[in-house]
Amino acid sequence: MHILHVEDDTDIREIAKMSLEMMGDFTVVQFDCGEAALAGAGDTAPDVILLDVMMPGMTGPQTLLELRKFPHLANVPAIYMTARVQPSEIDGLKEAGALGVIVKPFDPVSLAQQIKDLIAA
Amino acid sequence: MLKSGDLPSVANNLRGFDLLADAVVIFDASSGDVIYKNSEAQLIAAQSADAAPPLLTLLDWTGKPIDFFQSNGTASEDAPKTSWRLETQLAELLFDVHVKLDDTNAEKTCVAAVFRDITKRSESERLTKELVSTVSHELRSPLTAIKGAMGLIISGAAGEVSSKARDMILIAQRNADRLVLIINDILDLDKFASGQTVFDNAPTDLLTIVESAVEAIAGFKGRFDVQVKVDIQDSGLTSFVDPNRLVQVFVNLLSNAIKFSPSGGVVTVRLAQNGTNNRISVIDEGEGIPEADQEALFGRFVQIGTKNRAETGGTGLGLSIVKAILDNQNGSISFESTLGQGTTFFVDLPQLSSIPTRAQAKGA
Repeated sequence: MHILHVEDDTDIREIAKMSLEMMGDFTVVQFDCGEAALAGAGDTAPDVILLDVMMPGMTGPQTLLELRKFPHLANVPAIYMTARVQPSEIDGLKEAGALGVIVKPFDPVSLAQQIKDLIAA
Repeated sequence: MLKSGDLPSVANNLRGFDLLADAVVIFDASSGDVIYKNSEAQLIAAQSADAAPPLLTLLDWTGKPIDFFQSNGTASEDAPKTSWRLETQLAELLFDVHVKLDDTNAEKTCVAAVFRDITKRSESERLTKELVSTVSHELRSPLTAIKGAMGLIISGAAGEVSSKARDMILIAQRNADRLVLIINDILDLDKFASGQTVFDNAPTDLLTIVESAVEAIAGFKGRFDVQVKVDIQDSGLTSFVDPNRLVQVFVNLLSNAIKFSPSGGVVTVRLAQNGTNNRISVIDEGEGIPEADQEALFGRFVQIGTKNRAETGGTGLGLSIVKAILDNQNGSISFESTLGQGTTFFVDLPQLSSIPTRAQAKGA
């Protein structure tokens, strides 16, 4: 399974990649900002899009909105990872088209399974 | 005492008010006529000619001082309140207004109103709250990396780890977990204080709440040799509360009771009626709370007893959160404690049947 991951924090990117590849057999393509994701999205074929919410430049929701304009990404499930844990904010992200929200700090051991569960649900 | 008919002598006696930084206005409660303004009040009134309403208009704006005192005529014990916050949109000023009625003269009743400009203080409070919220959120990113890295090492994903190194990483991981709990608690308190929390109240069976809380702490309880018993003295207790927040209350109280219980001890949760309230008691057989610590018990970052927080895994904010939730739910919390014997926390919540409906409240 392929994941397109957008996250501005270098360390979190590395941990998420290691976690998803080692614990979940995912293939992970990462970008450090929304703009980079848009530039590289044409060369990807993800099964899931994983996005940070608060990023310098384009936010996660803004990035997703633009990614959806690529025909091959229009219906790919999207999951946010966020430190913002207000229930209203989580509801807002779901209403804006996200499959689910994973709260930071996440558990690296169960991250891959969390994503698989969200897709399966 | 002050009489509105004594204007010249009153004005002479009140000159000391000109030294105050607060604006002071004295007016006739019946007519609303201003009898006296100190120099700060005159200054604000003059400045406000263009941008803000004059002070008397501010009083009118609230609709409270003049209406209240005119309609009552005399001071009343059930006066709703004599101070409130007054926001003037035009000048973006914020005042705390304190009003004192003088009805010692049979002919005239006077009202003294003191306006304290709290615009700067209020802005400072807002910035502090914002800072707390931002810092707490910002701490989550590095914590995500710290916890993630440690989690991967412990899982063996990053290669084999010696037993000693594993022990050290487990200590670091445990403390990172505590930091996450503290941040969550700070954010919770911040939300309660700023009124951002939306309580989703519904008629709720309190036994279900207790059972959910007991279930939620099952994993935590497993680390201690302590039994939890539920004692139902009255069944069918129902209150109009937010079930999730109430579970949070009892998870906090139960985890405290368990942490401070001796090995082999029993924590009892008792459900009973208490007058028009439902009372849930959380009873432990712990070391008790020293009298010197009791007053500060619901404060923030309070450490009680001989166990430190690293040992108990507490954040020092649990009881503050419990109190904040119960305050928002028309409930209350109290406790009794005896050193060497244990502590009982009492949570009282209005029974559903004793809560007046909106129509009843209006008709009363």
